[in-house]
Amino acid sequence: MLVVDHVTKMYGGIAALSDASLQVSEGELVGIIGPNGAGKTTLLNVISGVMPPGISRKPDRGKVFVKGIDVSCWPAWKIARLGVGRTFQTVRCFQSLTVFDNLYLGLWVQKNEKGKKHKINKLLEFFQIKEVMNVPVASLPLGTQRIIEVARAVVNEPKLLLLDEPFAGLVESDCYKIISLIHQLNKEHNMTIIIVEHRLQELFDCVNRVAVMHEGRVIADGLPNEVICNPSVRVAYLGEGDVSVSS
Amino acid sequence: MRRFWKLMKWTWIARVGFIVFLYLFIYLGRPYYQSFCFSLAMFATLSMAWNLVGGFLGYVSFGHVMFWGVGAYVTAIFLKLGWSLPPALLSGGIISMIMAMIIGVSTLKLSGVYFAIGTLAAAEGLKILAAYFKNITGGGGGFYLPPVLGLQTCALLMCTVWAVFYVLLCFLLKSKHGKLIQAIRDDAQAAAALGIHVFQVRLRVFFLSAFFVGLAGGLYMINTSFINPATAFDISITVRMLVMTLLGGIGTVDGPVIGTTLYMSISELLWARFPEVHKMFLGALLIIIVLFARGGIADVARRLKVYASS
Repeated sequence: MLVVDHVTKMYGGIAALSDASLQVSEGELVGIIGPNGAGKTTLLNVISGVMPPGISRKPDRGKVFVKGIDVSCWPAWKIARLGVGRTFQTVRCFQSLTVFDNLYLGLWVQKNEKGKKHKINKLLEFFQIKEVMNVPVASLPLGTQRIIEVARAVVNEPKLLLLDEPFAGLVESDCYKIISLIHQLNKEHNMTIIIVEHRLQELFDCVNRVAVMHEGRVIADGLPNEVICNPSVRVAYLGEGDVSVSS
Repeated sequence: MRRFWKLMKWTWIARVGFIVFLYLFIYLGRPYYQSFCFSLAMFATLSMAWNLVGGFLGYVSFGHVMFWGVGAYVTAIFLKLGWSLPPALLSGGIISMIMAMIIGVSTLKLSGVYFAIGTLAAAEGLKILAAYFKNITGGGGGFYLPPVLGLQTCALLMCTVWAVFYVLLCFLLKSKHGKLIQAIRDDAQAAAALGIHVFQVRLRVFFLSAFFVGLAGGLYMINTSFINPATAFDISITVRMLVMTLLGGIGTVDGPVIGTTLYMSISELLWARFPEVHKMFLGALLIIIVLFARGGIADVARRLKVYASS
């Protein structure tokens, strides 16, 4: 489903990604962890083609393949139409629009109007936010906005879903609603999902594989319990001991 | 829901009422009022077109007057070539749209201040070109056109162009395409991540805006029978579009119409009573609005409604 092949991405003179590689098969649930500035969000940006303003979407080196297609130079909208959905680290809902309109825009690329309302209503009911469907998003609390952003990303049933810190700022019950949705989407639609997250407890409840990033590279990749015991990971992410990361 | 429909009903009654009032004013009024209504309809069209790009797309254009100038020149040239009025007028709008495509392709990829400077530079460039190609445009001396229509017919036509644009915008911005435009203004990157071709949407909105500005320019030319580069690409016309929009309420459907009506009425009254200092009063009014009502009249009305209901 996804191949990130030795990708390097520079922000000015700083390498946000440095020869990073990752392979994800169809239907996998992968978590990405790592300290701040490790390149987790940049990795999602490179895959989805969404870069901060003023920064080229193309990797400086390496390639990204989605469904076997080289998308390294593709614009974000084209990658999204290939079936890649995403959320952002900071909530980015359309603030002047209502909850319903936000979800409706998630289905914009679907030409067939039939069934759109049903899909939106199903998600609104799942997250128990139907009563605020006609309320402008700007007037809702941040946690609800986070849920709406996740709902907007999944409403179109993408083949590859990238979630950037989906549990940040959420209460436990809302986290488990999202986890339940992730499992459901993975099971029913064989959706491939990559989650960048700092809340390890919730993440490990959700994924069956974890990749750890440090200084723009993937330094460990495997089962959650095995990865967290890796000495390099404990040094880089948990700050234990003084073992060299490269070793 | 019933309250919403009731409000919508009254909004539409006010809109249609204002359009009918303007038609009656032109039809029954003296030439002075016809001329006033012509200017009112023209500036309302220009402000609405500016608001579409500045208010709904979030792109502040400082060179919007160029489409007005292009529309005026193209209409005049085709009329002089012997074309009849409707195709000449439409050509003004269409060539302005093509101009928007050329300028939009290069400037709509820029953001914020760079777009503003880009459009300003394009307008200044066109002003120089219009002065340079004397054989086509008449150069700095201007372009004369024999009178084609009377003032009343001109004002009625301008009012029709404005009314069509007004109704079109009301429906467009309430439709799903309007939501799309607002979503792009809120967060273009998030919209792109949903598969929306942001640049294409921006370009289409820019086209639509340029088309109606071009039509208004063509009608101005027919009404005045004269244009020169200094008037056709005068930055103060763009500034007026911006001020009228800010006064009424940027990013709202009715704001530019309210702003234009208020600005022109106050300007006309002050001009009649205090011809030497009327611009000073207008300046003071604008400072008050910028300081105390940044969302314009539309925002003040909304706040009053919230205050009254609480």
